[in-house]
This record gives sequence, C-alpha cells and structure tokens, in this order.
Amino acid sequence: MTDPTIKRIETVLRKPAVIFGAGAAILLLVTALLALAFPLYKPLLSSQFSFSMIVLAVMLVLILSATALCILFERKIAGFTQDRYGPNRVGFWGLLQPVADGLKFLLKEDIIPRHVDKPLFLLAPALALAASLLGFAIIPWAGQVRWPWMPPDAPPLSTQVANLNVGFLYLLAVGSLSVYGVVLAGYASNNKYAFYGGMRAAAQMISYELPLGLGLLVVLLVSGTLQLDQIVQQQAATGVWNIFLHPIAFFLVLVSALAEANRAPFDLPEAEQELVGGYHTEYSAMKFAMFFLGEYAHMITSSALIVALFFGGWHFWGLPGPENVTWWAMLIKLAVYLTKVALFIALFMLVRWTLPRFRFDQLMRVAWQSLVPIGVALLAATAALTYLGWQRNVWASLAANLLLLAVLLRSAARSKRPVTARQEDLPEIDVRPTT
Amino acid sequence: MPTLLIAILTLGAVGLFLAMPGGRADTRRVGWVVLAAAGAVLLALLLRLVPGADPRGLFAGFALVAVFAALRVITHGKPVYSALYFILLIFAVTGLLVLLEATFLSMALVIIYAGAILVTYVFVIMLAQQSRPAPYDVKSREPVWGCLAGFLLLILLARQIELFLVPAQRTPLPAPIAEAPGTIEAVGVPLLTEYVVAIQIIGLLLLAALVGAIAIARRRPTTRAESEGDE
Amino acid sequence: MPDTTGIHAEGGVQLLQGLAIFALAAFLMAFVVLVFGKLFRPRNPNPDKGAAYECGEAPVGPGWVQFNLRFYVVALIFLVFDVEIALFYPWAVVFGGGGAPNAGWEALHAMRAAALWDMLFFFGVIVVGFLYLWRFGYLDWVRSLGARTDEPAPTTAPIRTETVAPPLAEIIAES
Repeated sequence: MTDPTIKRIETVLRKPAVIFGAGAAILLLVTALLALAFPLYKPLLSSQFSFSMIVLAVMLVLILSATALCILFERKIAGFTQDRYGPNRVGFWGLLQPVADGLKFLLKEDIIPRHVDKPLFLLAPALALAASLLGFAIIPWAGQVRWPWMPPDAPPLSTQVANLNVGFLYLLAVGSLSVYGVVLAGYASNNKYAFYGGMRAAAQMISYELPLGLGLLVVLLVSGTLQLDQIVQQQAATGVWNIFLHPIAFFLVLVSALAEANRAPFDLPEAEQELVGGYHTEYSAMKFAMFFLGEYAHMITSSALIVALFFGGWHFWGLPGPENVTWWAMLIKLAVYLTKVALFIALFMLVRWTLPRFRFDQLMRVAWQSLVPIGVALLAATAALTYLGWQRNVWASLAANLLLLAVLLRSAARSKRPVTARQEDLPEIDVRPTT
Repeated sequence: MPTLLIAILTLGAVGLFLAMPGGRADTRRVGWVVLAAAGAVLLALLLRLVPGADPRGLFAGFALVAVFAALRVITHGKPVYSALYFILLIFAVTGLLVLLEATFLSMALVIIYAGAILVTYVFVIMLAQQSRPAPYDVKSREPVWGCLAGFLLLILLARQIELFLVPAQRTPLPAPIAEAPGTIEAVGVPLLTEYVVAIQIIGLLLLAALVGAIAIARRRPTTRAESEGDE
Repeated sequence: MPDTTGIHAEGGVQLLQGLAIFALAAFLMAFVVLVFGKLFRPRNPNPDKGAAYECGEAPVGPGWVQFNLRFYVVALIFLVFDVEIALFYPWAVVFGGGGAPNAGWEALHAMRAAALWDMLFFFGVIVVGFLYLWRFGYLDWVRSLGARTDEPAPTTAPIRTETVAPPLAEIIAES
C-alpha cells in the first residue's frame, strides 16, 4: 500500500462516527446472531452444568477483550497523569490501539535465543496466563437466574462457573501457582536480568501471600463461609458491605493483591531502570504478550475478588436484590459487578502512575514487618468480636478497626526506621560488585 | 493374584533401575518400556479390582499421570525439571482427592506443596546452581538399594490395603462419618475437638522447624575473604 | 436466601470436569495464539538475535548465577507460616459458625469457647516464632553482621536500630 492510502485510512478511522458506527453495527450483528441462534442453545441454558460452561466461554472472551482495552486505558491514564495525550493515532481516541497492538504482537518475529532452556521457555508464558485465568472460575458474576421458560419452583441457576465448597481457598491455591510462570521465565531465559527478576518476583509473591491469607481469614470470620456467592448474598441481604466492617482488612488485601500481580509500586521484578525487562527480558512477540495479558488478567481477578469480598459483589442499594432472579435482574447485577471491577482497575492504574517503586528491602519490610503484624492483630481483634457475637456489628467492628489504626499510627510515628527510610539512615552495607 | 501383583512390582523395580539416570541411553529406553508394560498391566488390574472408583476414567487418568510424574521426578537429570514433575504429581494427587470429595485437603495440598514447599525447592535448586551438573544429578548413587526399598514399600502398602485379596475377602470400608466428609466444615470440627492435642503439637513442631531452618541457614562469615571463599 | 446450586451439587466428578475444562481452555488459549501466529510471523534468525540480551555487552558466564541466601531464608520462613495459615482456615470456618449452621446459639457458643482457647495457644506459638525472627533480625532484608551475633545487645529497643554493624553486610551469596 502506498503512503497516501494508509493516510486516508487513518483519517477515516479517526472519525468518531466511523468507530462508534462500526462498534454499534458489530454489537447489533452479534445480538441478531445470538437471537437467531436462540433455539439452538436454549436447552443448554437450562442445566447448571452447560450454563456454567456458557458462562465460562462468555467470560473468557469478555475478559480477554477487557485486558486488551485495559492496556489502552492504562496508557491513557499514564498520559493523563503525565499531562500528555496517550495513544490517539489509531482510531478515534486511540480506540483501535488494542487491535493494532494485537496485530503487531502476532506479526512480530518470535525470537527464541540460543542459550535458553527451550521447553521451560515455552511453558512459562502459558503458565503465567493460565494461572491468572483459572481464578475466574469461582467469581459469582451475577447472582442467580431463573429463565422465564423454567418452572417457577425450579432452583435458580448460579452464574458461577464452579461453585466450589472451598470457595476462595481455591483462589489462594491458584494464586500461589502464579509464581511459577514468572520463576520459570526467569530461569529458562538464562539471562542475568531475567534471573534476578524471577527471583525477586518469587520472593515478593510468597511474602505477600501471608498478609493476603490473613486478610481473607478476617472476611471468613465475619461471614462464616468460604463461598463467594454466599458472602455476596450476605452483604446484599444486610445492605452492609464488608468494607464498612473491616477497612483495614480491605487495605491488607488490596496491597497484597497489587504485590501479587506485580503491579507498581511493587513492580520490582520488571523494574526497567535496574533489570531491563526483568523476567521477560528475553521474550518477544506473542509470548511477551502472554505475560502482559497474564498480568492484566491477574489484575481483573484480584479486582473481582476484592469486589466480591468487600464491596458487595453485584449488590447496590435500590437495585434488584438476591431474591430477584429474573434475567433482566441478572443483567443489571452483571453490569453493577463489572462497573465495580472497572473502577478498581482504574484505581490500580492510578496507583501505578502516582506512587514510586519500593526498594527491595522496603518491599520486604512492608510485607513482613508491617502487613503481617497488622494482619495478625486484626485477626485477633476479629476473633474476639466473633467470640462476643458482634462480628457483623458495624459499630463494634469499626471501633476495633479505629483502635487498631490508632495503635498503628502511634507505633509508626515512634518507629525509628519507617518504611521510607533513606539510604543513609540504614545500616551501612558493603556493596561488592556482582560477578 | 499375589504372584501377579508381585511380578508386576518386580517388573516395575527392574524397569526403574534401568531407567535411573547414569546408565546408557538405550538401557534407559529399555527401562522405560519395561516400566510402561508394568504400569499398563497394573492399571488394568487396579481398574478391575478397585471397587467404588466410579469415575474410572478420571481415576485412571490421574493415577497414571501421578505415577509417571513420580517416576520422572527421580529419573530426570535436571533438578528444575524434577521439581516441575513434582508439581505435576501434586496436581494429579489433587485430582484424586477431589474425586474423593476431599476438597479442603486438595486445596491445602496445592497451597502448601505447590505454593510453598516446591517454591522452596526451586529456590534451593537455583541457590545450588553450578556451571556443570552435579555428579549426583548425572548418576544416581544407590539405584539398587533405592529400587529395592521402594519395591518393598509398595509390597507392604499393597498388603496393607488388602490388594492381594479378592474384594469379597476384604475388610468392609467404614461408613462415612458425615454426609460430606471432605468439606472444610467437616474437617474443622474434629480438628478442634478430637485432634486438639495434635494441632498444638503441630504448632510446636512448626516453631521448632522455624528455629531449625534459621539455624541451618545461618552461617557466619567471620571475615570477608572467608565469606567469599566458602561459596 | 435462595438455595445455592452450583456444580458441586452434582458431585465431585462434574466439578472436576468443570475445572478441567477451565484449565484446558486457559492452556489452549495460550497455545492456539502461539500456533496461529506462526502462520504470519517472519522468521529470520541471526546470531545476534540469538544472543543473551545484556545491554549489548557480551554475557559473561551463564545466566544462572548464584544469588543471595536471603531468598532461601524468606522461602523457609514463608513455608512455616503458610502451613500455619492453612491450619487457620478450618478453625475460622468453625469459629465463624460454618461448622454447624443449624446449631443454636448455646451450642455455637460452646464450640467457639473451645475453639478460642485451642487457637489462642496455637496463635501464641506462632507469635513467639514471629517475634523470634523479628528480634534477631531475620525479617530484615539487609542484615548487618552485628545483628547476627547470638547474644542480642542488652536493650529492649528493636535490635536493628541499636546494633548498626561495622560495614560488613551479609550479601553473602554472590561468589
């Protein structure tokens, strides 16, 4: 193609009417196709197992397209924070940027350096992506639904892919597996930057698993169940989200989720200034994209988990509650859930572009000497409340949280070495060159 | 029945001995063929014998993967791959536990083994990284005694779970104590009533392990030269 | 509260199938993109592309360097605490009232009383271990040699602020 042709295409694609028109047309087409094919999949919707599989397929597609969009929004937010435009050349407002990125990843040469451990080099990105996708299985997207054609006394269907009776213990298990993608990438690359990145990632991820586990234990004490759908239903039934009961537990889980996803300010494994690309230094093209997708998918899982645990899942005051299981209520609930998740992702991104990165010793100090003691103290306080039968009493919980916060602030003010200690305040270390 | 089983186990032991790292490549290949034959016969036998394993396809699949992964753990020459096969083994066993509806146990297995113990293994492996593979990775040290010990252990196990008897002669299985014996609720209550002492002992044991781990990991480099020398 | 019906209502097998399909889908996703891309992407290998990327310098030795022993210590400590947290989960379910959902307040309270004391002891043991690590500086990433002495300095203040060591660090592991 000649230059003028490309230019003309670019100009056309940058018109909002073209982009939104095409988007609306695609949406209409998909809706029409789904409506036409309705008799084909109607029987599938009525049994829990096949319905779960449909939810799985729909959610996989939704989430993968959401990750692509996330990358655009991340860059837009970066642009906003740094007072520049961000991507705006491909399509109106850069909306086609994800498509361009995807095509580019697909068309780039996939370089496998000579010195790598090839099987592990191939396995690592797949593992990273799969481990973060697995978590979606237990997110209760939209409560329950009973289709109009089902008998009114039939049990409503759950919009969860798998309602495990171990609940979010499963998420903890899957989350602990995401270490391997990164460690293997670092190991297989046979590159010093990658190796250090992988090691850092592993130490960081295991360290922040403890505060995560402690924060989740607090929620478990409050709700008495591990199943996310029941936790959401509880919050919807009482109208009191768990965040109002346990803001500190929410903070613990939020910080740990950021660290587990290797997001700034915990992005030391891929700190560009020190480690080039960190564990994905040697990766290119689609395999690199898979690490990218994995990170964003992990972020969405964490957000969805936090929303379910602390922000009432699909519940919002004044909107259909758990007893309303009609299909339109399901759509509203899904919309509410996805909105909350989107807000969280926006928060994650804002955090990334506002906070500077931790140093590695600070990172470890935050996990082991701040978050773990806070978690242990909070767990003890919640156990005491539970013993008194006050675990769902807002005022009692808030009082306990405030008391803990006061103690923490006081001890932080008295601490001689805060987390942000400057280098000259730390004990002198003997820096020897790494060979 | 017993003779057949013992023959299979012997075959397995011989195959494993041949497949151990250190031998010639073609000997090891022969070992794998022998192992595959033994595994196939054993699997057929187990599927016929084991009652109550209703989803037999899944049971057989997970069991096969578990045995294969376990074999690779000890026959693979590269320690990192051994650790990865160990993780595969954990997953297979997790699948078997889920088949038994022991859901809490299965998740705890993944969290503790795959999420913590194996990460530590991988750290150790990378810490001990050398430019050349270590001699004990290239060649197994006591293949004869190792295979023999494993063989005897398997015989004992098979005896203990009465695999040598036809199903009619076996002690009937006790009825499940609860409706869903493997859920976290069903595990939690006896843990706090019947096995309280055990839990406390575990707590103390973990404390001892912590102190022990620290004691082992701490080596005091007295001078800088020495600290560089002893790496 | 409506009855919750998920896959688990139909038994462990279907649950396993659900999860297996999910895992399979996730892995397939990864491999399909890779194989699909193979049809389009160029393949022009050359020696420079195959070299390790170390900012243009020729790499010295393999990438598998030995690293700081601290990583290993952190993993060991994590291992112990992970087991303890995993043991806390069944306790929390029982304590939160999940063990006997239909039991009355009296029964629940009795169970909680028992569970509380059991776990207080367990908890205490953990806290002792944690304080041990903290006091002797094993939770510090950069540890001075002063904090490594077996006898702590005779002070009640956090040891790491007081016994700042002579400039010898414990970045032991690089060789």
